[in-house]
Amino acid sequence: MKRPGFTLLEVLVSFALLSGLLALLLQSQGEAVFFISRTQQLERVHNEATNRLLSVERTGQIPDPPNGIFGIDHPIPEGKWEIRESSLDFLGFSLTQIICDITYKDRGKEFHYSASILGDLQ
Amino acid sequence: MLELLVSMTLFSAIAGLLMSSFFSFQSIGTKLESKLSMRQELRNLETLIREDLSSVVYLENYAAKSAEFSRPSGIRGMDSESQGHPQDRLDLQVHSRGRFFTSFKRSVNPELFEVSYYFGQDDQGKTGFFRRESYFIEGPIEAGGEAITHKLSSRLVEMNLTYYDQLGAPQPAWVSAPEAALPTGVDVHLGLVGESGEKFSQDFTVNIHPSMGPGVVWGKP
Repeated sequence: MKRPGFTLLEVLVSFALLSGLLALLLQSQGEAVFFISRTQQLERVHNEATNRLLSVERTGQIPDPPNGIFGIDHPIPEGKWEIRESSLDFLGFSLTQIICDITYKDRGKEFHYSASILGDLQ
Repeated sequence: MLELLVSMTLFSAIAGLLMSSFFSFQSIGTKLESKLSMRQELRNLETLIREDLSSVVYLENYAAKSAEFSRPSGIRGMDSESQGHPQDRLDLQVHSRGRFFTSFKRSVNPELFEVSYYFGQDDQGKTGFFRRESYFIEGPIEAGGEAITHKLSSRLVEMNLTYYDQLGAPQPAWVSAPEAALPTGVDVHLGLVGESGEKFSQDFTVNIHPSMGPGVVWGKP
């Protein structure tokens, strides 16, 4: 007569399935944390570039020196920034473009971010 | 007996796994929620301050008639500190339809409001960050008239403003005067401390009358 209940094999299989599902869930949670952290870092970099370009817009001058490295206390530690001027051809008209380049590290990997505005310097 | 032991071991392993994953999810979820809520709060505060600073006005004629009365206009930014945190106060006159006074008909909206940002205490004696808005501009810039005051945040602990004068020199405080009506730009630093002690900060720049060389000038400096 067959006894009611599950066999050891059935329990082991269900256990394996459960572990697989939990691993998947943990992975997705980990990815969510990773993407939030990455977005946050990108937002900081975007803010920094915007603020620097707004300073150029306000003063009408490229800062002296035009590049530098962020300190340890800065929201983008050990990142590099550079502000440069370039010329842009727009339908035959020459426009001045002020570009802010930021290089930053996220989890050991180097990323580049660039933002620009159009306008004449003094 | 062996089967019982094996099943109990498996049961405890599964229960342990489930419990640990549940608590892990819960803790990660709480942290994420707290982070997102703090970032959102900072963004909301930034939006409000940025909009108000961008629409600041200095009423030349109004302020010029103030020989016998005190009629401040423009910006009155005070540099102050509390418990090691910069807690500046900002009072300004803005040209806008008002954020809190929403019941005005468009035709009778004065489109000129006094706005203040400051750290203070609420009715329960708890410290917070407040925004005051009033359409009555006569008298002192930080008080008077019918005003609506809202506590914007109880987690904001730092607000530091740096004003840039016409020569581009940074100033910790600013009081508008006919010879130096408005700063050319303002750097704003906001610092938030969450319930778990986690710190978040936001720095942003607002150009009030940016000028970009000869021929391209926005507003009168």
